[in-house]
Amino acid sequence: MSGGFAGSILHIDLTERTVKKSELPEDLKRDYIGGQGINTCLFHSLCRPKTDPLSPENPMVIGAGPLVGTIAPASSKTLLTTRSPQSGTILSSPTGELGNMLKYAGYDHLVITGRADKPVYINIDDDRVSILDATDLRGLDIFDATDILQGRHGRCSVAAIGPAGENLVTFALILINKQATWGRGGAGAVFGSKNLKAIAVRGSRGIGVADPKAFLKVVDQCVQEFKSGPFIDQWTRYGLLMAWEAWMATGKLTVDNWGGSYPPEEATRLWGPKAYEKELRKGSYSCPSCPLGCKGQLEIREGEFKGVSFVSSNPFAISEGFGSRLKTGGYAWSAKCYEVCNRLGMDLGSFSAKMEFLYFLYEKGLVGREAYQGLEPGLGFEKTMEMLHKTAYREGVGDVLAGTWQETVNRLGGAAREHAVHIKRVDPTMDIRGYQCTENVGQLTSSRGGHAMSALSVTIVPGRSADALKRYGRRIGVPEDAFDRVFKGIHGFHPSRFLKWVEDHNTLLLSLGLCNRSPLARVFSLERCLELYQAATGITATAEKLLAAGGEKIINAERLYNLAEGFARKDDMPPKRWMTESIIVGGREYPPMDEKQVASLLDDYYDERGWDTGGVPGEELLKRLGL
Amino acid sequence: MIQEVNGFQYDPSKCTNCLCCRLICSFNSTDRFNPLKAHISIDFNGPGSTVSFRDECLKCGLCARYCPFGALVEKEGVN
Repeated sequence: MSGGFAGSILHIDLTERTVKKSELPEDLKRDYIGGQGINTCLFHSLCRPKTDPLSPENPMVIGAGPLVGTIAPASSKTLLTTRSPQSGTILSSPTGELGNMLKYAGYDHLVITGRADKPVYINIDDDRVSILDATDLRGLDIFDATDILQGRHGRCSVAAIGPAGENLVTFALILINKQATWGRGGAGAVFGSKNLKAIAVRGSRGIGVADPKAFLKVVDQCVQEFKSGPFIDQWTRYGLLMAWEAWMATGKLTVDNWGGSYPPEEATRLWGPKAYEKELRKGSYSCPSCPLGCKGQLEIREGEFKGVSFVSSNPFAISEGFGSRLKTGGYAWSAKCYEVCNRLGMDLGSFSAKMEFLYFLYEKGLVGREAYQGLEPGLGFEKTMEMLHKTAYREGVGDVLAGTWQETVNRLGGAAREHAVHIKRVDPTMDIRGYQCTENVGQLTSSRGGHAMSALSVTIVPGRSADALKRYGRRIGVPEDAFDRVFKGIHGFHPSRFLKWVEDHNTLLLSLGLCNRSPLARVFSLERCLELYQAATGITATAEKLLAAGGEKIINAERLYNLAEGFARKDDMPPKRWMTESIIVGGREYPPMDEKQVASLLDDYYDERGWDTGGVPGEELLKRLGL
Repeated sequence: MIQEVNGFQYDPSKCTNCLCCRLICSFNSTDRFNPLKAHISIDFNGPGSTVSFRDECLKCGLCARYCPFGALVEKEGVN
């Protein structure tokens, strides 16, 4: 018996208003595994060269791998693949919801093309697929639109955009069920460009597995091993705040446009775990089938916004984006900014970076008061709330911030370009000056621009023992003959060589539908991935083939797309500011990256991948991968 | 507040809406995973969440066994 897959692809053309169902080809299940893998393959076959990301021709592929919808731990990862209006690269963005309902309705992948002539939403209820009028939803924020659709269609999953997506803000996001994000990259603007307000999905079918006994046995093993892992209770309680001390030590809360870090004592008083517990946290929250529960049920306890409650996929981002960068104050205010940003439908990392950047230029005298177009320059809660609305509605200076980095610096003129911090027009989340790990180096080479999603491993917190790093490497598929070059250096690993293997493994997890946060990823060894895949689908494979098909091949296919669109080695370079200025973290000065250091990181990464010094995959590699 | 229903104790303060109880229940009774087909239902609303069971519940206890957070436990000696 086969299982895991729902078995179909749903194609919706919004221009022609047609709906078509096709069978998921068997060769795709074997050769691209699912989720991110099959999404990438479908996107390649549909997207013509030089497609404008906001044109009807930009296809949007939503897909969930063979484990999504089952009880495999944290198996709800659902990918959206499109051409990003923020970066211009291919964008595969994972989220923690929607895919399970899509599969229960009978579809592994949903392909949306064209543009509706008026606002619409898609309603999927098993075989009943409708393109419905969304005139009454236009202009509503994401929370209100979702509430209306869930009231109208029952217990469905809803992916919706807010005003920012409708107004084509280049970093507009999509929220699923008001909390799971398709965030950085601007997928919300792609929805908006298609006149698509939302997708509501409900499925009454189920997902079976090929070998139930073997499947549940592996699930049990995964859960047992997960429970015995370190710091699990802290992860559940605090999400990414659990590593607060490490974040303070490595300067994760940046200020002044990546010019320094927030004073640790003050940051801890305002947003540390104790403040989080006392002022905001109500409980933990899981994506479907996740035993970690690292999301937070939050409620503002004090002040003007007392009682405002919502679920956050990353409570740490409240202090990182608003508190630290924009000086919006303690949780009573910063959490309100977060909620409004989500309601309006913008990625908070990109918004906060842009607003902070503008004020940085103003303070340095690099732009005048007129750049604010009538607003009073500054940071803080009230000015942030004002700028959130101006940006989402593209009014005045908000329209300047709402564009790509290229558009923003062009409009601000002068020295703006010199000081802009982005990688392929996407705002990074981690500085690379000082300590280098797979996570921050991975931002340079990521196919979607400055994002660490596929580079997450155990290296972000310094000080892992050599044995622990090697153990992790073995689990994720680093071959023994690569150990000498991958596990060397003062921290026990080579950041860009290890990155190659980390990316391949993480991408495989997203192709299968599994979460790649570190307490989970460590459980999903390559062998476990193979056992889950085989027991679920009934397809026989080997660990090496699985990693190549669902991981390495996908990274290479994404690279080929970006190369064809004109991206090259020069685009893998860090922002100029990181190459010319030092940063002070906790009283210690970290020098800028030098050219030689960066060249070495990139050379070694390309070499580990089998790419030439320009970052181009070689013929032999492409042949081996079947590309 | 801890609820006692159908021979189980449910603690909403520990529940994270992971759906594992409903996933395993649906699989046990239909051979397929879909929380909407489960005999157990949780109306998730943070600390105000409530649990209920359909009459078809087999009292097999799998829902409690697969709860990763200890939010749902079998009341000793009942099932």
